Amino acid sequence: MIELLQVSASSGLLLVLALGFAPRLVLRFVLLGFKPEDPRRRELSAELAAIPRRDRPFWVAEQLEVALIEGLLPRLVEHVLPHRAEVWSFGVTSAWPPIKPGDPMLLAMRGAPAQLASGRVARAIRRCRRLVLVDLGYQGPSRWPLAGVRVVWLTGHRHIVMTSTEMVVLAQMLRAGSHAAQQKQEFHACIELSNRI
Amino acid sequence: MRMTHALISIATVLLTDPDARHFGYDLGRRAGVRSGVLYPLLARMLAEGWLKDEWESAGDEPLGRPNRRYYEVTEAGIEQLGALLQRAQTDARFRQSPLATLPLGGAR
Repeated sequence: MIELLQVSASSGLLLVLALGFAPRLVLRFVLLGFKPEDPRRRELSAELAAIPRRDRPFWVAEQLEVALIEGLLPRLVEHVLPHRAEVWSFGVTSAWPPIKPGDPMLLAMRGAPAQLASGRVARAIRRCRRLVLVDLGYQGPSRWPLAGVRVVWLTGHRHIVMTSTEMVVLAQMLRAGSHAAQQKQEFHACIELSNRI
Repeated sequence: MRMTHALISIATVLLTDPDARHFGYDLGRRAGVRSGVLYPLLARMLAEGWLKDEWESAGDEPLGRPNRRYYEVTEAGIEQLGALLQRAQTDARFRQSPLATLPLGGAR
């Protein structure tokens, strides 16, 4: 136990020393969290020169937080879901696994884009057990406002990520449509979930 | 974008001089926003089209340090941030903030 404490104390001391005496070196390691093409790698590295020496250790420590949350975490997610970032026109922004032409879900989306929240498309998405990111920017037949609706469906677990405006739009879509009561409940549960996040 | 104290502070600094070029560290220092919050916010504002970014160019004279990335407010940014500051003035959460000298409207 004492050895463990000694190791953790020495590693802590090492970190303090590294942050204090070699912030640039630590920053270089921290920036590896961002993708190589991310401009923040270059930006943060250049910014360090402008920061007073006494503030550098704290500033570098803060970048560790940013690199973990904004850099490393999305990269890990992308690694797990490699095709998530694929871009699709006609409504579907991204999907995993990628949607092929003639896919029943895509046809449903194309055929009735204004009925995104309707049972047909929702059922197709659920049946295909896909992660789908949908982004629509159109005016529906019932004069729904122009807005993007981003819906993320993850195998078995549904999450709707929306802004407040989008939530209003979806609520309007729900009211306008003729959906099964159960499905309405599911969507409302998702909206409540997204409100809590 | 969610209205937060950090966003309001950055918007205030940006609209104080909408024509100026802002560097991340300097902007954060003037707005009193820590860098862990600042850079993600700037990235979101870029994505929204409220800001545009460019890299400092050395020109004829060497800078003696790496070229820095700077941010400029776009026309859309002036509009949106101005509207945001106007909303903040009527929002109880921001009453205590030093928003008395808000550059509302974003007039150039």
